[in-house]
Amino acid sequence: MDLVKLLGAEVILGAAGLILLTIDFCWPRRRALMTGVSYMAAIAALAVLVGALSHEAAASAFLSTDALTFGFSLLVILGTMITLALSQEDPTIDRHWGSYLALLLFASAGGLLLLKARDFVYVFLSLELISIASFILVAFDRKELWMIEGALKYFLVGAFSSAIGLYGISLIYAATGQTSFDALGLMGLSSARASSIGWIGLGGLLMVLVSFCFKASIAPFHFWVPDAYQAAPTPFTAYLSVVPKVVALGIFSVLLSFSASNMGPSIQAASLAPIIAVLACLTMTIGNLSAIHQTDLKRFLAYSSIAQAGYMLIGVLSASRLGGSSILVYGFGYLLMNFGAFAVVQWVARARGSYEISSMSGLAQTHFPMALAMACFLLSLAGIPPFIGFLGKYYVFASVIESQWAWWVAVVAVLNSVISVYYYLRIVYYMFFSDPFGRTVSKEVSMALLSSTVFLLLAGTVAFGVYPRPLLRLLIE
Amino acid sequence: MMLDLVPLLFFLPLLSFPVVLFFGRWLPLKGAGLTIAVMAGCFAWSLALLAAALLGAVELPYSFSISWFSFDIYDVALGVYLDGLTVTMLCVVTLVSLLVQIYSLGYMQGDSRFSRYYSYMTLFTASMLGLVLADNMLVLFACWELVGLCSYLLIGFWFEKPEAAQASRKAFITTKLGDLGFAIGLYVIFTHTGTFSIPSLQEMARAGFFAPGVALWSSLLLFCGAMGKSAQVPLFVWLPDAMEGPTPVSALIHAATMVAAGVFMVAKLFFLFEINPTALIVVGFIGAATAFLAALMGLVPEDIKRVLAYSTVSQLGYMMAGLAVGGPQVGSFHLVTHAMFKALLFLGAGSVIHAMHTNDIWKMGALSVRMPITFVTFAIGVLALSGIFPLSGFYSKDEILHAALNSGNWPVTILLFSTSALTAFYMTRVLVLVFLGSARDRERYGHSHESPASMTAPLVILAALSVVMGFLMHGEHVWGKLVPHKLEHEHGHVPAILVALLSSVVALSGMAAAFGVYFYRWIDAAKVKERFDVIWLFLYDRMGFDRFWLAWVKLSYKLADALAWLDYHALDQGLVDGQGSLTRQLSRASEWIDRYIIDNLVDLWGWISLWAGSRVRVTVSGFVQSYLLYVILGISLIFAARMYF
Amino acid sequence: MSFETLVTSSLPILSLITFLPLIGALVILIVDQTKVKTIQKIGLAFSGSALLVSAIALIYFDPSRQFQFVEDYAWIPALSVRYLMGADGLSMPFVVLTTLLTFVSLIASLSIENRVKEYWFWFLLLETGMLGVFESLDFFLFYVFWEITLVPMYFLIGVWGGPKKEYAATKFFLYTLFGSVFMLLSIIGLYFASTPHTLNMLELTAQRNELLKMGMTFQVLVFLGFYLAFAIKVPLFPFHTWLPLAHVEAPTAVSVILAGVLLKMGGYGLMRVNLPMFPEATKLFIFPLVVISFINIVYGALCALAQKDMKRMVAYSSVNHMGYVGLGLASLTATGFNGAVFQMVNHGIITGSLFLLVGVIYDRAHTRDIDAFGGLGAKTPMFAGIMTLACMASLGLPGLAGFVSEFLCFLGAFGPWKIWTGLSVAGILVTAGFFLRMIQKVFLGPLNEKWAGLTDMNAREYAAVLPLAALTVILGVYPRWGLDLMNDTLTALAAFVKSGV
Repeated sequence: MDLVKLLGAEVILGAAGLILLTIDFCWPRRRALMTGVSYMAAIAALAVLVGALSHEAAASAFLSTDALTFGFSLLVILGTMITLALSQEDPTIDRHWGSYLALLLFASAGGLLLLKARDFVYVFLSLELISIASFILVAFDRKELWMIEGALKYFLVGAFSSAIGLYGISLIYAATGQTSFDALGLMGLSSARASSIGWIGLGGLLMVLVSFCFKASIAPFHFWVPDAYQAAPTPFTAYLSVVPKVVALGIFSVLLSFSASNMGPSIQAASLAPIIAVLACLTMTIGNLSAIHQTDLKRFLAYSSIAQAGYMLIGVLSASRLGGSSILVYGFGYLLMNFGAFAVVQWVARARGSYEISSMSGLAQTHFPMALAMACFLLSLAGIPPFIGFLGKYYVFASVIESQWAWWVAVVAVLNSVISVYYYLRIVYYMFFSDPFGRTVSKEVSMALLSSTVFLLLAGTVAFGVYPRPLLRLLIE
Repeated sequence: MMLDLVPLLFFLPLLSFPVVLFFGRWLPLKGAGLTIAVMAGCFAWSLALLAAALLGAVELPYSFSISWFSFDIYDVALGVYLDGLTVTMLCVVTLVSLLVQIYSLGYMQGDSRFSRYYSYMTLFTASMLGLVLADNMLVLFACWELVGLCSYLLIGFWFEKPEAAQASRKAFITTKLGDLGFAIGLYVIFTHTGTFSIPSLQEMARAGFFAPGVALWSSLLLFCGAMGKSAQVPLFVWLPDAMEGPTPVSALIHAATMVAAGVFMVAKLFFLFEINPTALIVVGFIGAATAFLAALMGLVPEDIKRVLAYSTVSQLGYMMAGLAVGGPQVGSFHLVTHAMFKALLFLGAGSVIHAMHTNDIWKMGALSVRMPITFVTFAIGVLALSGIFPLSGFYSKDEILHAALNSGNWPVTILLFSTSALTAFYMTRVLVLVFLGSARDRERYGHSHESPASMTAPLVILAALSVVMGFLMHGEHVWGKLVPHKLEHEHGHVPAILVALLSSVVALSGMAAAFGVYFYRWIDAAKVKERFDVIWLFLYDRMGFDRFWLAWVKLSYKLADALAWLDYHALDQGLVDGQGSLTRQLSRASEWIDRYIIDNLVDLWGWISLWAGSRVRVTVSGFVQSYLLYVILGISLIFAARMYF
Repeated sequence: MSFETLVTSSLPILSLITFLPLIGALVILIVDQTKVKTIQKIGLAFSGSALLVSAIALIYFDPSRQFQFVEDYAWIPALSVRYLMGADGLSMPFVVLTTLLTFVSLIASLSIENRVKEYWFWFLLLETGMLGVFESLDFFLFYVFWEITLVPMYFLIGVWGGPKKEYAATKFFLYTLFGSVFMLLSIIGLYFASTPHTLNMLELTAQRNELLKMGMTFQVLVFLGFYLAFAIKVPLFPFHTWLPLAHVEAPTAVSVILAGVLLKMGGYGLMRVNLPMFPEATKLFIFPLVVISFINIVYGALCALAQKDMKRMVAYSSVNHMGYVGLGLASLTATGFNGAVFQMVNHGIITGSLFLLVGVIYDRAHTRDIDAFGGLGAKTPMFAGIMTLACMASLGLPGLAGFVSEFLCFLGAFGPWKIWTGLSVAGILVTAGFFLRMIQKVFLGPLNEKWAGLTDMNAREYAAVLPLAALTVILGVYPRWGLDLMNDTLTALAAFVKSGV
């Protein structure tokens, strides 16, 4: 019974995926039906999730839920729902609609499962579930050669990283005879001392870390991101930039805090934290610097999302309760603003037929609300108050300053946010300061769903930025 | 009652300023009627005050104040402080202002900015009265600056003339330079005492509150302000240029009142100056040097107003020296008499300029026939200024020279006596060249005529006062009662009659020499000029003082340009934008690495493979191979890092 | 319930002042962009009512009491963030200055014809941000408002500015953001240093001795974090280089706000945070601050002297005038504090009118080159008169607003810093030099025939400038109204700061 309670949402999503596949096979033209099923599944999963809140936290040997898990799971399901909405408005996804939806739901199910995993075997399983679904989805739109190239790169790199992760797990098992967090935590896993888990175990742990870094696009393992993001259908790019990344970082933080709770304060002194700190700085800096010169909106957002992952990684490194919640808060804000930005990009690309940055030109004069929304998303990504992005950054900075020793990471982070403002403002510059682009949206193309999604996300970005109390109560308290 | 309403002396002219400025054109005489009426009232009032003070009907000193504003625990008051000197100054200011305004009715007739002229005039008078009345150093300083503003506005009244515009700026900046010292002096005083109130400061000084060092610093700094405003060496350079303004303005501001403000201030704060004798020595030397140098410079100009300007500078130096050697009673008496005859001289010069349409004395001559009233009054002015018995100048100068002799300060005494001779010489030169001899410019002479009554009447009044004032006011019962403070010198007992004789001889010989050169032409002035043209040019060049200050101005412009260049190129473009472009370069590098190194690592891979002897085909999947190599590199790096910790 | 209790305790008066413009901005957002007149009316109505409410608040403000009109609600309990607003004698003058200058600037903005809706939207948003900075007493809230001002300013410069507007806007944004992010870190640092953790500025100030226990490094780092943000805003040398560019490129009304209000946020911050909260660091940095102020005064004035562009000149004169403020702050005396705050208010009024006036001539002549004019005094007497008045006020002529405040700054600083104050006085002379030079070249001399067709000011321009000119005279003649408002607070503040140093 516990297991059902634990896995309710995953089961629903997985089952819905299977149903969708069946419908797609039998009645490939029933698009509306398939859309409906996917929404129903997402809503049902949400209901189960919220319902589970009232119960006591459930746990088995391998799976467990706690307050943070709930928040991250909520994020996954919301992300799925937004992606569904965006996908409906993307005409490039014309074939295999049911398969597309099914894969999306599978990936989400994998995400949910990953969050609950408290054993490396489950971690690997769920990671693979996400990955395999993603490989196909990235390659969904194969019109151009470069799209195939991007998808292939993503597949090979992803497979490779999975292999590394699996190898790492096997090394850990070889060294300790354990795969569950609980047991490993007691052995001082995250203190990463050769003395406690042996050189082999340490090597395994680092390989797992690298594997996580791939999934979360942490530099220097980020290079697949721009190509893959550019190749994938835009709604799925948005999904890819948010859900797997936040989930990977979330479980990573769980893994560290898990052992931190057993090991006490030693984690700060001799843990993986210094490495993570350096990785975080590197990720932010590389992401931001590379974003400056991008001319393609999707590549631009790809680099921006690398930088954002860097900020979130800061939350991992303090391995405190505040650190965990900071990733969650940041992740939630990131969900709203990054999906928002992608949605506007999708809108502009459809309206003006190009992903070039210059297609943003003069948007403020032709569609002021849309431009204003985009400006808000970008400023939120840059961490300017009163948007939710600021709250996330505040949390992250607070978590690292609380830890004291790593305050310099905060300094690097704020310097980076100044740089990031520069390129985010470049988009704003095109939208507000340039004259309108030649082509504008043709009247008959209705993008009501897309527009309303944008404004719903905008409302979230602003409202939770200004009054985050309900959100925080839901996620953290 | 009479005293309680004294602030109105300040407020009435002040309030008429905006009225005349904005609504002047609808008022009688375009607003001049109002300001003249106000001034007449003020003069009558002041005169009544003076009479009352002399008759003992009112008790002086009198002070009265209300709070102006407060900060910290301090309160700055707005109030009046009346003593004999103040009351006299009130009379002088209101009288000269009244006469000048009447005079201007004729002089400024038809000017397109007639109302504005009168509004400035009344604003000036208000500020000057405020300065005189103030019981508080800060208010005094405020009014001090305001008269400076009016001077600026009035010198540049005909601002279409570039010279006038330039001169007005020069006057403002030069006096402001002195005022910096004044301001710092105020800081010193306030930091030391916590008050600006003159009566309180007087109390403190009497109680020995001031250490000699503080007293010296504060008085010398305050004196800087006086040096600017009262045109002492080396800050006098603005006053000759200030003659670009309308002549009545010169008479009122740059002869009788504003320029005397410095002298007035030193007299009023004499209690501070006398604490440390060094301060008085400095004041005395600067005053005497000013008197002498300006008198020398007064020998050469062709412009009648310039001569008078140098003469004013010289006489102001005289007053300062008088203050230093004899105290307020001695120095300020000359201030009062000088106000009369110098205003007279300027107005007379204005009358001449009005008739001849030129300032050049070499184009005048023989005007005594055409302009008898102007001639007689101007001659009285010259005699008074030269210090001929029994005109007012004689009495006031005599006091100063007497005090100088008594003080035993020989350098100052000698300078003052020489100045006396020089003054008589250059004034007589003007008198002779303008009014006597033959007309050198027949055409201008032909058009010349006596000025209208509105202009001659003030001349007559001022001439009469210049004659009788010294006689009436000197001595213990009148002036001594009004301004009792006088320095006593222990060792000096030079008999008064001796000084009187000596000064008369000196003045008369100066006059005689001028007559000899310019009237009888015993010596050819042109030849002398040619013979000593180095000296002549040196004097004409204001002894290089102008160039000295100009060099500073140029230096500051150069410095400004250099700093602005530095600010833009080094600080802004270099440092700030340099950071920005550095970041952009970094980003370019980072992107380049991403695009070429990482994406094209395959080439490197291929190159390594070649080197290893095997060829690898460059394929799409080759890209990924390179990634994997890169991954392995990354992992190894992290391993290495971990080992290191 | 009497009107007084309504104002002083029942109504959230500060929130009302702050958010009225925001409501206006949102209303404008839903108006059709072609209805220019409606948009302008809405904007003026909301900004005007903010002005009115702030005037009412001023009437019922009691200078002798501590923080008034306090509003305190829990906002983000998870982070101990409160919605805490309050006004004392330090903030009240700035609140009124902000509402006044914004209203005046909006009148001047009636001439904006391009993308009116957006312009008014951003402008009103800007007003909300600025007001919030002066009223909030919670660091988080403070920071939020602080950053909110950046965004509208970016758009206002970037869309409606001069030829290099994009560059200027971006530079302004990045430069000021660069400072404020460090302030954010300092805020977080303070939060964790306090026990119990708090973001309440007043509590943190009261806890300053406990904060000392964190060690000198902490003091210095946190002080510098705040200092960087505030010094860039003020701007203090060498962080001033964004200012001439931003001023020159910004449209007239925005320059007014930039110089009139935005710069004051820096001075306000230094007084509210740096000096009272970090006594040890203050002790360490007070001498550098004096030297920096001296540089600001003399260097700013000399740079202004070298400028050919009127707006650039006025911009550098702001650098110079903010040096006086710095000097007043560095005095750590009530006299200097009075001078500094009063100088900030006066500078807002005076420089505001100077920018408006430069805008007047630029609108007609399309050039701001000082050398391009000549003899305009005869052609446009009213304009020349008001401009002269503003210049005279700016160079500290008695009877006009700048004099008393400038004098108090120097007077306060002279006690502890005799030499540096004495040297700084030279700045006054240079200030006089460049203003008179400008007056001479533009208004005096023979009329440059090129401008024979120039017209004097029109009704809209009078409506914007005359209130400021009147205030310049009123505050100059009767400075009590300004000083009494702030004196009690500042005296207490100075005593508090002094007791720590």
